[in-house]
Amino acid sequence: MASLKALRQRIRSVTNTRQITKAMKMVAAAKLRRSQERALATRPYSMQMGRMVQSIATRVGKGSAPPLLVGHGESQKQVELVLFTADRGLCGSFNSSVIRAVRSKVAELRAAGVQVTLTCVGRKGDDVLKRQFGGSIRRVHTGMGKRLTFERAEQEIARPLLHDFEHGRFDSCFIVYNAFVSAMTQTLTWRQIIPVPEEAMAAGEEEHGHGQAAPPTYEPDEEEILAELLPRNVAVQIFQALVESDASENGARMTAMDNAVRNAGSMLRRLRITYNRTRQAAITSELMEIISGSESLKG
Amino acid sequence: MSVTFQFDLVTPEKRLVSQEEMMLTVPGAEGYFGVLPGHAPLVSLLSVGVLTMGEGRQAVRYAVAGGYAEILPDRATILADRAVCWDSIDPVAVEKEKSEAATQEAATREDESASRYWQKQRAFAAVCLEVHKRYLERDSA
Repeated sequence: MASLKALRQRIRSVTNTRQITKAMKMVAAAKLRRSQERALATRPYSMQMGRMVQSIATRVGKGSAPPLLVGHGESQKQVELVLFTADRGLCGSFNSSVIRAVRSKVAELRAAGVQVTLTCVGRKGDDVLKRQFGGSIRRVHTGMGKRLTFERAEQEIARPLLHDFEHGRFDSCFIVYNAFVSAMTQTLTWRQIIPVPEEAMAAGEEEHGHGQAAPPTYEPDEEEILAELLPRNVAVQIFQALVESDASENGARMTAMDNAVRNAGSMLRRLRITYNRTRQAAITSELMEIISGSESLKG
Repeated sequence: MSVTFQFDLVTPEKRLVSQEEMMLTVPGAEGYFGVLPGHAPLVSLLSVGVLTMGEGRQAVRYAVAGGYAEILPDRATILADRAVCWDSIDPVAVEKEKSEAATQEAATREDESASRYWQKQRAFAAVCLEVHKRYLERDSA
């Protein structure tokens, strides 16, 4: 059994831990409210955007379609994965679920003879993956959560990505992030952003088929709108992933810290019981010694 | 035919307006156009300019920095890159933004896409100032 002093120290340290985790939970909860609002506020735009891309994409002839829509060609030799993690840890399985998914995807793609390069948004993804795929990490973006604006997402992440695509450095691009469901739940989401996935285009075609009667007028024309729309769509998807991931991160951290506070509490309870028992045992044995001592003097 | 249509103004950051509207004036890429209920389906790029909801003295104006408009007979959706309502423009901040954009534009002259971006920001700031001035004029009149 541990000594009384050791137990006292342990109790103090667990109390401190509980204090800290409680504070972190509060911070995460406060941040969550803001980032949740933002994640929900950006959804209408990205949904509308997706719809518009679909409806225009289905009307453009395959021949004249820009590469962002249909890809460079049939071959899929080079894939870019953009993964969204947090800059810091202590948020449960938030980071590891993304990292695990990326690992297995990379393994799967490489087994199929496809080259993979990575873009890490958030320091944690880079920290873990650079040990395994150091050479494949093309870019790392950190500190996005500090000032999360569309302009930043567009300039810092989307623009270099599009630049690489135009120079043929990859054929298709996927993003993987935690989509925000509620403070407790995040769902890992894969999405192909370059080129526009076939299913989405098929869905758009169908919708158009028995949707509106007359095809809309385009001003200027389809090609020109598409040339503007597609790069923008990439930026919008990335921004959406960013805000969703940010909200999920705060939710995950809040939940993780809440658990930690609770665990610390129950550990504290157990420690106090042990401490009091030990104390009592010590007192009892001391008493026994005194009594037996005085008894022996009497006799 | 109803006299109003559903109008949505959304920016990447949030949905700014979602309401029934009777008339719009939209800064299309090939010139301003008006939208009334029952408009023929139209998809248009936007230029940097002023979006007007309603007309006359009741009109509400937004400065928009490009984007897209999707017009259907009973619905109009504007996806603006940036949009600010004329009563929430801070002329001092915008003035600063404008000069910042001008210096950035000069600094990034070689990079075409970057310089185009800053040029757009500068134009947007100019539109903001103009719209704000008109708002003040209306108020004082």
